[in-house]
Formats: sequence, C-alpha cells, structure tokens
Amino acid sequence: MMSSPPPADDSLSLAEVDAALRALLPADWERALRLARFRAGGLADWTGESLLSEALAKLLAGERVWRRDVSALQTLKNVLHSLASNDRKKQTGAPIDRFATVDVGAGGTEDEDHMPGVAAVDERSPESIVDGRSQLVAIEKLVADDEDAQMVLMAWSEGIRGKAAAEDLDFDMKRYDAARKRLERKLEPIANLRNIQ
Amino acid sequence: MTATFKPDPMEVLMDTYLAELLEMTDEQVLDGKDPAAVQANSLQLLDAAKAEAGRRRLAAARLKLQAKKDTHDGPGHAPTAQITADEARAALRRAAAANDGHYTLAARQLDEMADEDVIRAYLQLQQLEGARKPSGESDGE
Repeated sequence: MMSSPPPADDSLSLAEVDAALRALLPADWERALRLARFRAGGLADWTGESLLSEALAKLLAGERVWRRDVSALQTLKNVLHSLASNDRKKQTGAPIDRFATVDVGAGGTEDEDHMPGVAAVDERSPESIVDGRSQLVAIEKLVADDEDAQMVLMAWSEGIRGKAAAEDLDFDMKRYDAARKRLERKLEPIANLRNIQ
Repeated sequence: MTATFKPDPMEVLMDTYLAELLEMTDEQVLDGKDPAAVQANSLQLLDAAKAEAGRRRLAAARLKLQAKKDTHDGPGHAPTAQITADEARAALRRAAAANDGHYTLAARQLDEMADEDVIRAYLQLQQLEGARKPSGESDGE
C-alpha cells in the first residue's frame, strides 16, 4: 500500500498544519480574512471567504507547503497571493480580459462599461507584473471617489504604512484609520456587488 | 517591450497590508466583533476546507490508482484479469503443481486468500511468466 512520503523537515506535516490553524486566535483569523478580502478585491470570481477557504484547502491537502520558519499569516498571505495571481493568469487567457490595462494606441479605452479584449502575453515575470498592475488599477477604481483612501492605497503600494504613511500623507492617525477602514470596506468583491448568482 | 524587473505591485501591497494588520492591536483588528463568534465561524471555514482537502486527496489517490491500472492495461504490458477468482486459483494451483522451482506457492494458501489477492497473484504470475518466456511464445494454451 503506497503512502505519501513524509514532509521535509523544514515543512509542517498536514497534521501540524491543521493544529497550527486551529490554534489561531480570533484576531489572527480576522487578519487572515482581511488579507483574503484585500487580495480578492477587484477579482470578479472570488470573495475573501472563498479565497481564504481555498487557501486553507490547499494547505490541508498538501498542495501548498507551509515552511516551518514562516508564520501562519505570512504563509496564508503567500498562498492567497499565489491563488489570486493564478486566477488572474487564467482570466487573461480568456477571450475578454476584464482587468487588462489597455495601452494607448491599442484602440480601446479604459471604461467601466466596455472592457476591451486584450490578448494575454505569455511571459512569466512581466505578465505577473502586468497582472498585478491590472489588479491594482481595478482596486484604484473601487476607491476612485475617495481621495483619502486612494492616498492610503498609494502609500501601501510603495510599502509605506501606519504612522509613517500618515506622516507622509499629512494625516493625523484618526484620519488615516478612517481612510484605511473605508479602503477595506470598498474592497467588497465585485461579484457581491453585482449579486451574481 | 522590454520589462525591467520590478516586484509585483500586488505582492508589495499585500506585504504592506499584512504589516499594517500585525501592528494593529487585536482589539483594533476585531473592531467590536465578538471574538468567540469570529473563532466559531473561522473553525467552521477550517472544517469545511479540511473536508474539501480530504476529497481532493482521495480523488488524487484514485486517479493515481487508475493511472497505474491503465499502465498495466496498456500495449506491451501484461493483460489485466478477464478472469474470475476461481479461475485464477485454478491457474495458480497448476503453477504450484508444476513445481518447476521458479515459484514457491502453497496451494492451501490459495483457499485462504481473498479474491482480489488471488487475482493479483495470478497477474503477477502472468508478468513473471511473460518476462521468462522468449518473445512470441504463448502460455501454452
């Protein structure tokens, strides 16, 4: 009877993965869910909950590895990002790329109602960068009517956060926190907003 | 278009957002939600994911098994059993009776073996016989 090979010593076994996830505190679960919602933002086919659920299933099935020296939230963040990126690559292979940024001169316009079709370029790193930018553009559109939230998003995309971001933006912490919360709320997935059945 | 390598903007954003979340206190993160309710919902999500993971592992194992069977059924390989367990036992008894020293098989064990084990042993015998015999030679039917 064939059995799965034991995990490498630097990875958690499936039992250890299960135990580690069950040991997460409520606030860390909330962090994980917020990460998932954030990563699902701008994606039509995922909610934060469904993306997190898929990430958990991947880890528990051994389809994604949890390295021993990496925290639960870091691991989940990596898996969430990987899943969403892979989903984006599938989307860009479809006849209509709902999220592509159209270059000037390509004949299309960036318009919420008319998503142009753009052929996906099958190159690895450049494509993932384009995908990331495309999703960032989609997220920027979600907060287009909220200047403070846009500013926070811009700061985060430069790797600047918290007090440092508030200082750079010339916000007091109350204004920064309020903008952050609005940004998070606006990442409600498009699928939910459309009430797609 | 030549692309100079830059990190994925979404990855940068995720890293920043995670750091932001970790800097916040647990109370700030929960933002008034009942921790027990959050825990309960999360464990429900986890249990559902675990069940799904189990289904996937089972499906993967079944595919692997099927692939193995298909390999055995493929051209150039020993045939799968189109044979009943009783026929397999009879064939194995004949092989044991021939007692040419190549195989050791106690005939009484055949009666104690489960049907699928008997058929498996018969297939193994077929493969071994096929390996021993020169190409083109039949089983002597």
